[in-house]
Amino acid sequence: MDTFDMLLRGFSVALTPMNLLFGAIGCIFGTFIGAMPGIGAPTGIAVLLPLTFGMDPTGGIIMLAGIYYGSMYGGTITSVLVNVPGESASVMTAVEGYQMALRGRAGAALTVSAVGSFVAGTIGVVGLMLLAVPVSAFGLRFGPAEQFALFLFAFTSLVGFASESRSKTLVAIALGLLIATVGNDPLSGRSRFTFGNIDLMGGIDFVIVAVGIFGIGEVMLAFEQNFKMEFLESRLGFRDIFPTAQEWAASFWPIVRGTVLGFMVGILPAAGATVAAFMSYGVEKQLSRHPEEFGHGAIEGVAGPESANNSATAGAMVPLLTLGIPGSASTAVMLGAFMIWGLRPGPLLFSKNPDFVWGLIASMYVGNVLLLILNVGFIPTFVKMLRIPFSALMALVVVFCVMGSYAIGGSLFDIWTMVAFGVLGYLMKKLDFPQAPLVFAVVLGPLAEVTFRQALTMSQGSLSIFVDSSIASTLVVGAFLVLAAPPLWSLLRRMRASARAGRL
Amino acid sequence: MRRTDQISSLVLLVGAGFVGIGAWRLNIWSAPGVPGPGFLPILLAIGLAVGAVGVFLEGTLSKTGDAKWFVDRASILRLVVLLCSIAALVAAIEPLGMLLAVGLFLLVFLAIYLRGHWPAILLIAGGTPICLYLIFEKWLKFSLPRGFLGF
Repeated sequence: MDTFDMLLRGFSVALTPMNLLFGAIGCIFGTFIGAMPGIGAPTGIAVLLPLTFGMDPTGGIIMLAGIYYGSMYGGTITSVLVNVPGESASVMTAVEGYQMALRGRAGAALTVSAVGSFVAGTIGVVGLMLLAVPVSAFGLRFGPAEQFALFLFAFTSLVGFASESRSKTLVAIALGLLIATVGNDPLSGRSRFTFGNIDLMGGIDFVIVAVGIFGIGEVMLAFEQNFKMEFLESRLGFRDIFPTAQEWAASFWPIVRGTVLGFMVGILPAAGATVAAFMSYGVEKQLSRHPEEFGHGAIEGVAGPESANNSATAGAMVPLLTLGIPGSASTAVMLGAFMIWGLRPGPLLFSKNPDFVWGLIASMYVGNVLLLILNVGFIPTFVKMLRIPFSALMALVVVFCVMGSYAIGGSLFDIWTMVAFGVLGYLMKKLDFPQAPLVFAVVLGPLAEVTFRQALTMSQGSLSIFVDSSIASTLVVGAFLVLAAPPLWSLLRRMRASARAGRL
Repeated sequence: MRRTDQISSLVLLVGAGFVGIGAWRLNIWSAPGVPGPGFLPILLAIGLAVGAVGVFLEGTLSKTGDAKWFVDRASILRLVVLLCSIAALVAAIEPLGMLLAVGLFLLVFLAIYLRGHWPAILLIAGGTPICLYLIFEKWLKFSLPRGFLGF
């Protein structure tokens, strides 16, 4: 069967009443979660993940994916109306969108971003569909050495492309991998770092780590900062939501550029939607004939980044589905969910579970249409929903975190562990350690260790196995390059700048 | 200079030392050429130590100072109340059962933060356990812990 036939088969799965319902629930939750500052997509997915344990995996992944891309749409609402980005990927939208809202163009900003998100999301899914099969076919050539080289590339990309301190990212990855080693060793069966505690013998489930760090950690931060939102009383009637012809014309190319850029950035293991949005904003400002308007409500600064962050979500699905490598914190949590459902993401997923994969891809088309309707037609309703007191919402997040961690193994120990990780997550935020690489490492750690040790056992301890095959050696060289390139680049820039200063 | 970075890096260095000792005891090699259970942990201990040294240097060489950890005493108090209420919720699950513990947690918590909005407080505190019962027990067929009252 070719890609088109598989997509049709996917639609027959995605359009069943139950899967449509799960997709709609995911999109609505996602929009709401994205709009709430402090609860990002990874938090929403982690907290609601336990609800999918008893569900059919296809329905479960359709709901989680709905939360993921729905949150990108939702992040715009508070960016424009409150000047507080609901999602980190909507930071640039807050800069321009809020200025537009002050001029009475909030409706236009929200509509342009919804349409841009729809176009980018839909084209991104086409890109995912076209790339998924060839990349997964390529992935079939991966043995343990190639797989480990790919993990190494993913980890070094996290460090190399880190927006925070590289040392802190390295520490976060090492801590995550250490958490993943707790419990019985998968190859020898020996207990590691369990301190004689029977509850730790089976290891620490990634859901407990993710729910604690993203859920309780964020709640603690929100309470410490006593978060309150003050909405801009902007006109949001039916007539006010339509942009003018001039605004549409100004938004067209930023949407196209944002879509392409976002998809490409989303595919990279460490980059994701936030980096894509920042890069798109920079590109639009550089290409603009009126760069002085940026910062004062330039619609290009809304259209580009919003399109980029949505196509990045589709891009991030490419390495997740085809190679089992998450491209963002949200897809890292989703990768963990795959494992809980007994599915191994990677090349074989397409041949062994076609309904699951193609049902998900088709649901993303459906979800984008649904989100466009939701985000253009029901913005005033979402704004009303956001007026729910923040403390009440946070109390419910705590309850869901507790219920979710109990649902993993029916143990109170798991809940205490989750709370402990919540405190760790809070401390990491306060000390500026990135949280996502830790969760990323907890999810990928067990697989990375097994492939590493299998490869070394095959080569009788010789590291040459990682450079023997062309795929592995390319990935290893790539891993070192992404690690070395950013500091070398900044050194080069500093040298150029000092040389220029010397000439002056 | 950032004091918080310096302190956290020292804590991490001590942690890396403990992990290194633990890894050594676990056997780094199972047989000649075959990595053992301590192989990855020893590499991680080294990675953690390298990262910690990097954090220390960044903190020491930084031109910006520490950001204020807490804006005021009220922030600390809010955090303490939050953590105590979560601890009380978890501790109450076994004797009271999950649903009653959740209901009481929401009642007390919201009574503190939504002062005076009793209809909303009662609706959330009463409605949430019912929703959780329907989702977990009825839909997902997951058995929640029951307390002395039998639910």
